[in-house]
Amino acid sequence: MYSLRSNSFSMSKHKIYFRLFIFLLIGAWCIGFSLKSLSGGSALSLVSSPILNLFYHNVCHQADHKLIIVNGFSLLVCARCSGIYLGALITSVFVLISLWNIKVSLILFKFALIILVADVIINNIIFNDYNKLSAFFTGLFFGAVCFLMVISIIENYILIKKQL
Amino acid sequence: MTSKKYVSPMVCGFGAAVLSIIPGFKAFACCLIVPFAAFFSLSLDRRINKISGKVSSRQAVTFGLLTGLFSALFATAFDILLTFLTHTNDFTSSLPQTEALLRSYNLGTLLEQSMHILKKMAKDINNYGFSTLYTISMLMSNLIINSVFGLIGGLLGTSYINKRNKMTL
Repeated sequence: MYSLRSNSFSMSKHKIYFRLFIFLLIGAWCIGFSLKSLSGGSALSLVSSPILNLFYHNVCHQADHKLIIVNGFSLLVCARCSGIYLGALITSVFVLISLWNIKVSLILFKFALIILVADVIINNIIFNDYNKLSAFFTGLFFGAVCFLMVISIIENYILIKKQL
Repeated sequence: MTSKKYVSPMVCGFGAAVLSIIPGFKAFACCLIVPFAAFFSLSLDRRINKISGKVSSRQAVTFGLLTGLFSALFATAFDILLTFLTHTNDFTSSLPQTEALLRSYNLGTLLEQSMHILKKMAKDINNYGFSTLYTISMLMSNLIINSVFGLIGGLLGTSYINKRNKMTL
């Protein structure tokens, strides 16, 4: 009984550290692309923007008409990417606070992916007009589901197996 | 892991890197091409070695990371090669606009120091077709981003393959 308790305690401790680490990583990533907006265009954020731009150029096309403007400054990634990363960040906060045992079905992931792809097709091919709001929210949903999926695989398959 | 097992991540990483240099595809390189490449490398390895059982999480992580790393190395190599041949790239062509925008904020000496580094990079690329600082920054950014997305692709691919296996059994 004792060993079971101590095992579950160390498991939850591992879980907290792991989830905190992931939250910090995603947080740093989100701060990176929204630094200009968050700091209200501070000198440091403006000076570092070309270097950050070069970095985020690898993950996003950064087309001007697809960028969200917050606080007078545009984010460094498009509306859809912002949604995906923010979705992951928001979910990481909930997951960190609640310490749920996450289990996400593959169907939910497929559903989120289909919605995202459908929005891309509708926005870019059928209507040929980019809707930032729909791009952001479909991205937000996909980011949240994708994050839960990846975390559940890591925790259920790797962390738990390592403990046993 | 035998040396033969490096083949599928290398092949898929190479394929992902080739796709990522095509204009228009570049934007999808990390979030679509690299995760799919990681998934394909897992499937390819199973076909080559005729494995039909469950994919272990260790395999998923290894294949995802390796595909990400190989794609980052190849993508950086292609980028450097193209820059060397053309003496220009996205960075040098967008620098004047970036500079004009930043100058409009009146940032003083802080901007001058930052622009000095960026201009040196652009000057090296225009003159010699190569900049050490640019190469390092591209390599670092590709390594970080592609390995993370490769890892995600490997894990999601594992989940998909295991689920499919369960259904066929």
